[in-house]
Amino acid sequence: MHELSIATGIIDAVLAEAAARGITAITAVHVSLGQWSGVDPDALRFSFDVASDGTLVETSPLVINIVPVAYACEACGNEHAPDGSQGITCLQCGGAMSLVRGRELQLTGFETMEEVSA
Amino acid sequence: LSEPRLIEVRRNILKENDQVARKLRQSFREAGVRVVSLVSSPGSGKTTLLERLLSEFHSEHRVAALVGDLATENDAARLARSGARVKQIITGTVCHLDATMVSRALHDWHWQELDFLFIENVGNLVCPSSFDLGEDLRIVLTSVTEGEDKPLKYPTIFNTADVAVISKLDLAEAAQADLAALRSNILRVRPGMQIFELSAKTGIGMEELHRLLSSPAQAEARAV
Repeated sequence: MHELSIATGIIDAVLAEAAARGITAITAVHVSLGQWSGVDPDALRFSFDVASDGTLVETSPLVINIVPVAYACEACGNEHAPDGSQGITCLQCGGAMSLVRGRELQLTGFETMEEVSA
Repeated sequence: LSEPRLIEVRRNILKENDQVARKLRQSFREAGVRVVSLVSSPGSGKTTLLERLLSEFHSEHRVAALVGDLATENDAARLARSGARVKQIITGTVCHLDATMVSRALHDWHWQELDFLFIENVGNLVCPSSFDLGEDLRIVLTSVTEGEDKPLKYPTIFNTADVAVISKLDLAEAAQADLAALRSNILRVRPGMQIFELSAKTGIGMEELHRLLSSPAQAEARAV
């Protein structure tokens, strides 16, 4: 259960980004979470609710975008998901595959009703 | 009434840990210290492997180890018998090590004088995968008694490690382990991963791992 420290990281990042833009009210927080980020979405939502108490994002919902795992061939760029017997070599050219998506742990944005200057 | 507007930012959430880890990795490289970390579930044999590695390396190299656990100094006491310098990091309720804990544990050490630093993470297949510790090489262990589908159940930890060790090879027969299935499951979540089958108890298979750790090119698997 390391979601609490990650929730705190999200909140700190949002508050810093908002302060830099002079924003004082936030209506939603958006994050991208890789399927293999090692972070559980429900535990993260719970931790966010607890950790956001008394901050600008106290009532803002946390919108979680799950990024599915994807492999790409290092030789031809062909992408596929690692299911069944796939995943070891490229189905198109037999090249080596490497993980290209699925480990994201990123604050992608937040919503506000306020006018924003730049 | 106006619509809410979306302010886009792209910011990695573990940025702070990643920054500390990057700084650590840079200073380790500059000082010529090779740093190897071990992750696995509790009871896969991290401490036994480390015990073996420390006593093997101790005669030729300057080696030390950091070991993370929620409580007790048992592992540090056990490892100190090898003659290497060992420090226990007690995490309390925290289920993983992070870069700051490593940095803090090293601050009163002349770690720059080391050839090898081993870091044993808390036994946990989930949380340690999110935290870079500044190591050059991360080894994930899975023992023959754990079941062949461990890599499929915990793909993230296998994906964030550089090489895999199948441990307790001396028990493979008794456990009726399907080593081919285990290997293929590791490769399914981490294509091309280098796999070592060994028993730290009997010493079978240790040579190959020893060779990997001693080879400078191989040991720097991670980008600064």
